[in-house]
Amino acid sequence: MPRLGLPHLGLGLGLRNVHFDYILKQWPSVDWFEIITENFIDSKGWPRQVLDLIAQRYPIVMHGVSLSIGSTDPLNFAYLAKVKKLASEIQPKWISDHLCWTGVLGINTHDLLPVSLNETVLKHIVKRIKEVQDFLERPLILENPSSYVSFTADTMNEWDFLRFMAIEANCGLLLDVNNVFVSAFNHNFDPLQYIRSLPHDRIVQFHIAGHSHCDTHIVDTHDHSVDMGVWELYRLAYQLTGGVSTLLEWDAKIPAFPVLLEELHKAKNFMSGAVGSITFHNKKAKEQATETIPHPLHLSIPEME
Amino acid sequence: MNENDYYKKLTAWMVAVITHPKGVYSGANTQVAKHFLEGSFKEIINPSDKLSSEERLSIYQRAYYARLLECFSAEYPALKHFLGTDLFNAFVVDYLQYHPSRSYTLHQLGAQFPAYLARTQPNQETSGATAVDWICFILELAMLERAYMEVYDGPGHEKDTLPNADHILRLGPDLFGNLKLIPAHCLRLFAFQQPVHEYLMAVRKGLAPGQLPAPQPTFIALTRQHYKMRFLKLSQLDYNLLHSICAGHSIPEAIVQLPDELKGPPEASLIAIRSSLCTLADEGFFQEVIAGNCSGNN
Repeated sequence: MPRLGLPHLGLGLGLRNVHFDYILKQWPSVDWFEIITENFIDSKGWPRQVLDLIAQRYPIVMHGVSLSIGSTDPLNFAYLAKVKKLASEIQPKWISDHLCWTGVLGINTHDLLPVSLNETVLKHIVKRIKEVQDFLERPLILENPSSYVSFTADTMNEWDFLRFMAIEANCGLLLDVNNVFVSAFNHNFDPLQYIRSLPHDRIVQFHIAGHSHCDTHIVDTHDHSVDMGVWELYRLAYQLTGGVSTLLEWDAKIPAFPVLLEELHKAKNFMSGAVGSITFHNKKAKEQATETIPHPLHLSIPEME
Repeated sequence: MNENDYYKKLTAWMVAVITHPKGVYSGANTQVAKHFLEGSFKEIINPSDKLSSEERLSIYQRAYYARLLECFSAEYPALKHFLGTDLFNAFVVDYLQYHPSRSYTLHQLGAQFPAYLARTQPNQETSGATAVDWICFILELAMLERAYMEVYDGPGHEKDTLPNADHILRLGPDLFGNLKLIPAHCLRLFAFQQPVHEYLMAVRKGLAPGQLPAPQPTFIALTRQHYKMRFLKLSQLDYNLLHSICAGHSIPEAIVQLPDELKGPPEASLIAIRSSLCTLADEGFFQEVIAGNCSGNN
């Protein structure tokens, strides 16, 4: 069954607190919102109130950044219980996180660190996904990460790892097309082959986002409009999957809401037609690596009333 | 070493390396990192066409600090404005060596920062007066900014009907004598040496307040109403009463604890206290009025 039987929600945006007031006043025409789970599971203030109001009008998806499915630390069931509780309250269409680890020995780096791609780690992660799905009583949807290193202990490609993982754990995939583009440049693989090799019937959602090209590498900064190469990958992915829910991420230098909507709606131009060439050219002057932070970076900040 | 053990060691090694403040070379040379894995970067991390193994790993090391510094800048904007970016960042980086995140949420990351600043402050007895004022200002500002975050996203009473002045005024003399007031969840009290709340408000409004304000003992309440953050300047009487109330004392106990200079003649004092409590109740500072054996908002 396509998308694990989950709905095609259309074109959505990440819910960010700088847009709270705009959304509550304008109730803009966007198909759905994705929230960062950790920003709301403990909130008893304005962020949670806004979420409750928005969840009454729009479909919501919960996207986590702290599951750390690839860690060797035990799963944090206290955290998962909070995730489950929030899900019971706002009824998201699905719950997603990342194929990554965020820390070990109790420390959380708050980064989405790459797992080593081999059979041992695959078995470890498949086992943990099953435990999480049993606990949450729903399928887990995992996103392919962007990455800047690979390990000498790796024995397989990321697309093979994702395919085996999704099938063996019976989970869904969130295909971040920008992450494919970023990692393809950083690891010198063919992004078209990556996308063609995935189990398309298990892809539940797409992410699209902007990135920063630093000449020697590309950083997943979520602070630009979407690159044309990413749009062409999106075109391929959309056609291979038959179309799934699409979400634009923009986490730094966040523009006004209408600008985001305009960027999101460009997706309609890339749902069909012949896939164009993918180039990794750097359009801008070299960006300082020290000024680029891989995202997500997530912290709800109060604004002075 | 089997592959499971290797993966455990690999991830622990990577955290040790990328969280070192001086970079991945220093990180890999620590005893902690060597305990997990020894070997060159190239033996652990593949190089790319354009970057060496250590250069690739350094992306994560720079990102670790850039990301967490950005979080602190968002949580402590006034303190950063006061200290300047370089000094602020130096404090944060040092703090992270003692308090790396151990939570799933970034909201807990800066929780111990005020206590860290207090613990590492210079000896005030050997500092000049200006230095003491400076130290005091950053400690008070850090405390207030942390409380600001906690109140913003913590429990409040937006969905409750809170008691107001009428509830106090309706109490007869006997009931007033047994009165106990339960403070609102979102009420925080501060007795500061300097008006740090004005500095914080100015920075959050995008203004650029000048350097160290003149010392001025200040009593303030921080609270939240209708999801809006509020500062209220308190009289010393109001502060002392609220401080006792927040410590769980009844109104008679709070009155006994008032300093002599705030106590007037008994009858005048009771009138002043009743008036204060009415004002404070109208500000939404109390979630419940307990008079004698009666409980509830009555």
